[in-house]
Amino acid sequence: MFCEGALLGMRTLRNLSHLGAASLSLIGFIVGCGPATTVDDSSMGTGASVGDTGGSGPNGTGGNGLPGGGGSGVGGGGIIPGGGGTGGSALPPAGECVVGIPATSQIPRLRNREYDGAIKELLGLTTLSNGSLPSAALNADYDGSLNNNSWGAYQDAAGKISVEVMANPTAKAMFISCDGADAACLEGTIRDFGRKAFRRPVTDAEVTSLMRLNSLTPAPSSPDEVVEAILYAFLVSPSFIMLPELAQDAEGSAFKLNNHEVATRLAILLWGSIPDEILRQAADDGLLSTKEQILEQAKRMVGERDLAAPLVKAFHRTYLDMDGPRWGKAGHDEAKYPMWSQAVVAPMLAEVEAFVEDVAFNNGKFSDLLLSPAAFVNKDTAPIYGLEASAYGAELTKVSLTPPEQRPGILTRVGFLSSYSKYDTSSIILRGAFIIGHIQGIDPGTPSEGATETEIPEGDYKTYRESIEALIATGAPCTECHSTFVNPSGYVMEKYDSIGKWQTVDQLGGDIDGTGNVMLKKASKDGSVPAVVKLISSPQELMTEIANGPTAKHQYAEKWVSFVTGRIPNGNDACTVDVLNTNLQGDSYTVLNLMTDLTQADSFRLRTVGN
Amino acid sequence: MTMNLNRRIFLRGLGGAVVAAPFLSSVAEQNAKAQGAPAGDPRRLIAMFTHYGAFTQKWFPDKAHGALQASDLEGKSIKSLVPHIPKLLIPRGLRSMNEWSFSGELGQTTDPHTQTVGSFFTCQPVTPDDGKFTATPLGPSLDHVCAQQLQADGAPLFMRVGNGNDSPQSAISYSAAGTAFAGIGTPSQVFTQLTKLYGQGPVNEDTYKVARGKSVLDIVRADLESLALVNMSGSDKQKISDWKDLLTDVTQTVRAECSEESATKLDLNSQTIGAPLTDITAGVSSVMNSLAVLAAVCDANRVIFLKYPGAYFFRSLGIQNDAHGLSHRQGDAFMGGRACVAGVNDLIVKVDTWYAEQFADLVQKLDSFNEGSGTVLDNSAAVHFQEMSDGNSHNQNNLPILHAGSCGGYFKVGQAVNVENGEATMSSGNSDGACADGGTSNVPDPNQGAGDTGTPKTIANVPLNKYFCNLMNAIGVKGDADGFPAKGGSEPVRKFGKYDDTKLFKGGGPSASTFTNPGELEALRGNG
Repeated sequence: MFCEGALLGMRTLRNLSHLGAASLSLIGFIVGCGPATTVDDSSMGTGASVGDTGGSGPNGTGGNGLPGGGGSGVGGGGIIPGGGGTGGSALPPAGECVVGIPATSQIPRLRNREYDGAIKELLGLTTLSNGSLPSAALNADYDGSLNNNSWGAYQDAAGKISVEVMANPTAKAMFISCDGADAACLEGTIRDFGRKAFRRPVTDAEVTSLMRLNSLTPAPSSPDEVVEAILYAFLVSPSFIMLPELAQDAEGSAFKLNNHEVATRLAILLWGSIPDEILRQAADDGLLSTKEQILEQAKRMVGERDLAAPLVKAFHRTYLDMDGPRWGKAGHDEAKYPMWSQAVVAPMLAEVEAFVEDVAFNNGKFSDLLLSPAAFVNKDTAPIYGLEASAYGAELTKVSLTPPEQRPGILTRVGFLSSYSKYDTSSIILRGAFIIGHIQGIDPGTPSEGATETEIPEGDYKTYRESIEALIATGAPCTECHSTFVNPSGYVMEKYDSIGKWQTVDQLGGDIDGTGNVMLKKASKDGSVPAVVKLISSPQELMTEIANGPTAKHQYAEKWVSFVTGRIPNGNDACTVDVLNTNLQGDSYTVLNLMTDLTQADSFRLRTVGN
Repeated sequence: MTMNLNRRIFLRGLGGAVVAAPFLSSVAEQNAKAQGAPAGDPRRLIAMFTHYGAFTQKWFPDKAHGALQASDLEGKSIKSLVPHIPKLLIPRGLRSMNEWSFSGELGQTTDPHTQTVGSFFTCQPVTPDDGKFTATPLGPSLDHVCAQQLQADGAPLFMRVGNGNDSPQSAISYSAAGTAFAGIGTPSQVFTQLTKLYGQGPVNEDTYKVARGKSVLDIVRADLESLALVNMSGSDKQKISDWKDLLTDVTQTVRAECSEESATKLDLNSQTIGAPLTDITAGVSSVMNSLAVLAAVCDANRVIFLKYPGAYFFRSLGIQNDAHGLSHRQGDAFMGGRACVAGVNDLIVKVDTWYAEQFADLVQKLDSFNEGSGTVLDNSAAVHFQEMSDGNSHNQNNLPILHAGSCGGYFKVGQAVNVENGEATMSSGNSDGACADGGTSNVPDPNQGAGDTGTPKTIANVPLNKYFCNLMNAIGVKGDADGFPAKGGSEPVRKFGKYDDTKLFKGGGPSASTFTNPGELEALRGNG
């Protein structure tokens, strides 16, 4: 069992992986619960949030539990030597790079979406005959020991899948392609399929063990019963359900993964699945031993859009906190906003995934996420963008919004804007807090003592901004935090109303003042380096400054590393983050480049053992 | 009286293949068998948990102590429990640990929800102290502490109604410090495990199916044993060992009542278990209740938790705001200073009423199955816990708790019991201190005296730890010489968690564990 100290020391998001801020639409847990004048700092988390859906859910957002560390960049960025790790279970705090390899479990279990990926690769099944995912029977992802329920669920899933495979000639042929009545056929099948399912050559002892299913008494009614039994046995085997890393070759004070283990890590990280034949062959041939060899495969793999897109979408869902308490949860006054209905919610959320996938697989860069005028609209969302509803159907259609300067990037899409709003107004504070926290990665700190009991003063306000400015002006602690950190971006985003429609006149009658003195970088702790603040007067300018600014790329890199490793930011992973951040400064460094470079960390091919 | 007839069955998974035991008989039964003694009626804890408290003045009966009558519940949001009054117990005067406040005088200042839910069933501080979104408790929760002694695999049956995931701001189940437990979210997963216990008729032992089942266990065991030879961390080795412990048998002894007839009586079938998960009011809550009851009838698990989601939109009840924003009266997460949602007090009562109806449904179903000399309910403690008292004030004293079932006579029933001072009256809080006119006046900030919607802090502060001790003792959990729950112990449980004084949680609970008021609540004890 974990001892308390070790667990705290090596807290990883994999332990929390079914928690995090990720939640299904039912669990839009509201954060903040703070006093009226305090920042609703739901977006201020500095740690990545990792979560996954339950067995019956669609794409999960879970991290893959792979460690990261220093490495070299594709775009010619700096090289930070990784080297052997200390092997301890306590991670150094986030911030400065501390060379080392975080300890990891040697037997993590397949996440449910990885289980689905594996079944697709092995047997060609994406859904079962009842339309459910192969993982539908499984418990929600969690770390820790199996219990009766979760073990029973694996057996159920395996039972269902094996029965369906036997009834499906195409799937069956992917398992066995000879006569199951022939013992030699069975043995060959065990070796061939086992090599794929276990991600390594099966041992003679394993072959013998599985072949006993062919010689049980009472005898089976047909050879097919044995074939099904062997498939079932594979699918409930620990070597399939877990991703064992057992190689004992040392490199420094760490262990070096063998080629098959590297192949597995590559497939799990980039595809959420198990190795394909090219990877398997590369592993068999010992061609996954060096960073360069790993890079070669990674480049190939991120180019397979169908296989790599789920990772892109899953990461950005987490990066944007889409499984948190806000996205798609805000109702709006349909009398005030006749373009709004519940029908807008699904397409506006789907637009985000389509957008990020489009950016990534069209060689897009980080800045394109914040600046691209591309949108994916349907008949329900089109009017909010000023487009004619009748020109669109129910499916999403890619458009380029005009004028482009009114719609730079994902934060000016209906999904974000309407979610970070109130029922009948926009929300300066929610939008501003999200931008400075989630996107810029700037933490304004906690509210001061006493920054609590103020109410919006009575006044004849002509704009929502005026009322909020009056609110924060009533108390010094509120004023400093909100006027310096939180509100300015929110003022700029007042160009979009409660449902995300472009506006120049407030519903209270006054002209929108969309200017703000936006914090681009905090002052140094000792005050020797002043803050970077700029007067910004349009969303286009805001997104440009943020995309090219000093903090957002670091935040993006840190979120990526946390997502794929399942670890909250720490000193060891900071080495990788620093390299990726440096690479992101390059003009041609793409999102796919970053994904590829995640495999270049020393801790991708080395591991250490915890307590 | 029901004869506890048992039958031996082969456990069959989907497709009819014989599989390893999904549910081992409880440790208590195993021990009884080993000692050659007949296992007695099971004793079980079935807990329901909901967020954001209640509109307390409409929830609490006016009577805080004494025999309950129908008139005590009429006009209250818990009126659906009237038919079950003879088996009902309403403990009054309890508070949970680690209450958030602006000043931090009552606990940590981590987050009003993160620390509340993290500490609710653990009575442990959460860490890190400034982990507003990430802090988790320093010890396991009640469900796991109980299951570790009562279940062979050490796991409770923890079910999430609606299949939503939880974050540290809503999670209540922790198998160990910082290790959250997701449990099960879809009815089909539970139903599938339970159907193995009564399956599709008798199995001929002399078949390939049975032989295959046993052989596969050997294959899995051999795989685990080869992994166990490798140098690994202690936690990895424990995982391998725990998995091996699950590979025991392909047969199980189940009670006669664990049958398809019982499932049918509970309206459980392949159609009903497919109730939509996106609307918990459309049937899935009833299905989850039925599954909890069937698991109890089958004695598949003696620790069953039903957790309802946070921030839920009860649109089918005509509510447009999420339940959290509603509890703050103003439709958002802030405490005071903004306009009331129109008619908000009535809307909160609607939610409270619906939750109470779900608990009543659970209680009715438990009471509909005979067991021993009574019913399954009589051998159970079914409890509706709520995250806090008033959802705007966030006060955790004067908790609204519903308890049904004497648990084999361990608890008094048919009564309200004021565990603080035995007096007949106790404050019902001040939930109507805001938004009482139904209009949209501003919500006053909490803890500000007049207008505060909570209960005065000086009353109703008996630590919830003590009630947890009652529950543990009632279902057979044992303690060590110091009174803490301990496997292999032989003493009653007298202490749970780290502290029973909420103030000691401040700053993350830096001081050593201490209990000012150990022991269970004698005032709740029945004659059993």
